[in-house]
Amino acid sequence: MNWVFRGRAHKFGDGVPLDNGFIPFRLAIGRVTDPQKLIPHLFEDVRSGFADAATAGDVIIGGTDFASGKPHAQGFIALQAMGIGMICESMPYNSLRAGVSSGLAFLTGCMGVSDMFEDGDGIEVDFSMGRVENLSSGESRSFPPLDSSLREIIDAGGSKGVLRRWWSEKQPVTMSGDMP
Amino acid sequence: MGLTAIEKHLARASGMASVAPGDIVHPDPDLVIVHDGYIAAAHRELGGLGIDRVFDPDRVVFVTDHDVIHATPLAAERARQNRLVAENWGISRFYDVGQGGQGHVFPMEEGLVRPGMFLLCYDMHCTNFGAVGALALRTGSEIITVLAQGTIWVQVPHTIKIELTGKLAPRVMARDLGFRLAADFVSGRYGPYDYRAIEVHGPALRHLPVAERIALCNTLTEIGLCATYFAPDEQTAKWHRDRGLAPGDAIAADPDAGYESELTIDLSAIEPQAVLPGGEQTIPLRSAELGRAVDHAYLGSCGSGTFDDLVVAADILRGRTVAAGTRFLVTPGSNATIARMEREGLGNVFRAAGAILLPAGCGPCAGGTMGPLGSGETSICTAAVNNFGRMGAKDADIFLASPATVAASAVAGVISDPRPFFAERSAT
Repeated sequence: MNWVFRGRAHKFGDGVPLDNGFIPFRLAIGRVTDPQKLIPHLFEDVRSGFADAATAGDVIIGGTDFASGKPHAQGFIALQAMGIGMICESMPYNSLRAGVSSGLAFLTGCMGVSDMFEDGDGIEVDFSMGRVENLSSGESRSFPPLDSSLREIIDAGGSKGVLRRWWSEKQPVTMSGDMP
Repeated sequence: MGLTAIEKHLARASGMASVAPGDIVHPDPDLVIVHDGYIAAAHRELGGLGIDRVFDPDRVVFVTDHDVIHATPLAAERARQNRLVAENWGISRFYDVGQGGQGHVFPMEEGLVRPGMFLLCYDMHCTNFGAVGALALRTGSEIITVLAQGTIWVQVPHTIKIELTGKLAPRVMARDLGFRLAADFVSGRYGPYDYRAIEVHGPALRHLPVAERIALCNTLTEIGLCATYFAPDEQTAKWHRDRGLAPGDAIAADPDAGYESELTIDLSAIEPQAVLPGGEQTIPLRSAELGRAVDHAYLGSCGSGTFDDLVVAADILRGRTVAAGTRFLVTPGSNATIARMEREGLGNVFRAAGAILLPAGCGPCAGGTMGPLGSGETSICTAAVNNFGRMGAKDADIFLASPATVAASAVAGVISDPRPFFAERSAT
């Protein structure tokens, strides 16, 4: 995957929850996982019209305790499918797990990143290196990227992508490319 | 610097000499436990990826505990699917309906989960196993990775040391301590707690039997701690001796282990607590709505379903009856506990008092599949959580409290402090 994202920053505050923040709870509890059904509802409880305003290459800027609450992955699934990344100052561990499992490009533990951006600024992020640049102000900072073992999972499209690839590689050569 | 017990568990399971907080490891579980609600789903998910087997059927345990009576045709169909999955994957240790009991309790009573073991489990309340010196981490739906590959990535957590001193007063229970601690963590009083592991130490452990340790592990889980751990000691040895089980391998912290923080709790200062409906607020029981009528009282499930918990309730019930207008549901944690209840006469105490004995398992807490709440009703119970709608009607109020408080309230028909019941008994 391309780890460099270039687009606009969508700035949110601290403590935006996954349920009724990233995505309406009814879609999470309904176990909807089809990204096309989820995308129109992204952030609709906290920023209506987000799905129409955002595009591939854009990056969510979150504060502390971002993506909090039960680790329902629906919001991450929709962001990943749209090609949108995420940077936040902190997030709960189980949400981090859900982000990795969903194949989302993201950085966490980026204290001060909220101060770098105004909503709508131009942004370029290399998620593999942790380099973040505000294209509008010219400010650039580096943060620790995710562990390389987690980036491998994201690179495969998430935990199911890893399993699919792993299982495919285990099959006899004659079977390769002919998975059911 | 030495290792905490949690770090030692993860190092051992990962085949490493040492690990440090923040490290990513891939531990090899001694056992993997999947509950009835996700067995068929896991099979479907893996089947969708073309994966038709599990890494080691002998290390996978299936448990039917969330829906043991199949209250709907849909539930019966799901249970049928689960049985087919067990057969298809060759899972011989399938504790189905009427067998083991609640999957976070009976494995410790049967020696399936022993000190020194490392487990990866579907359900978050696997944290109970810290009570006997095992470490179990919750995976949720990522259990499919474990079932396929036999491991999953785990970040080594920071460990917090809690030193317990003093002794709980009569009819004050570990659940009261757990409610208070959980609320104080959430308030920020003790610093960061997300994905922290707790190690419990201190002289008070001499008076804290495994049953109470289970309640403490259980009560601290919902706030996002990943584990609560008791290194095996004399109380653990007693638990195993009483059940004719081997003691297992004791893993304890190094004397110079590095903890993120350390705190000391005086148990003698703990008083009965109540978690108010919705789960956002925990207050001393005396400040709660004492005297509020309860329609539904419920004891048992994963946090308070041991024999010891039932003894506490039976002591309050003996010679008394459940109040008219209140239904008192009791869910023992295991079939072994039910058998012991009957052997020692507790079953008759509960029945004579008018309590309803449910089969071993999760009971009403598992989404109200049995013994649910009606609109506007009030419950006081030992459920794991009390968010609105957890056990039926969304406009029902669920108070969480200790087994003693629940039993006292069932007898009184109103939310009641259990301590006067003890005093009355002592006076006779």
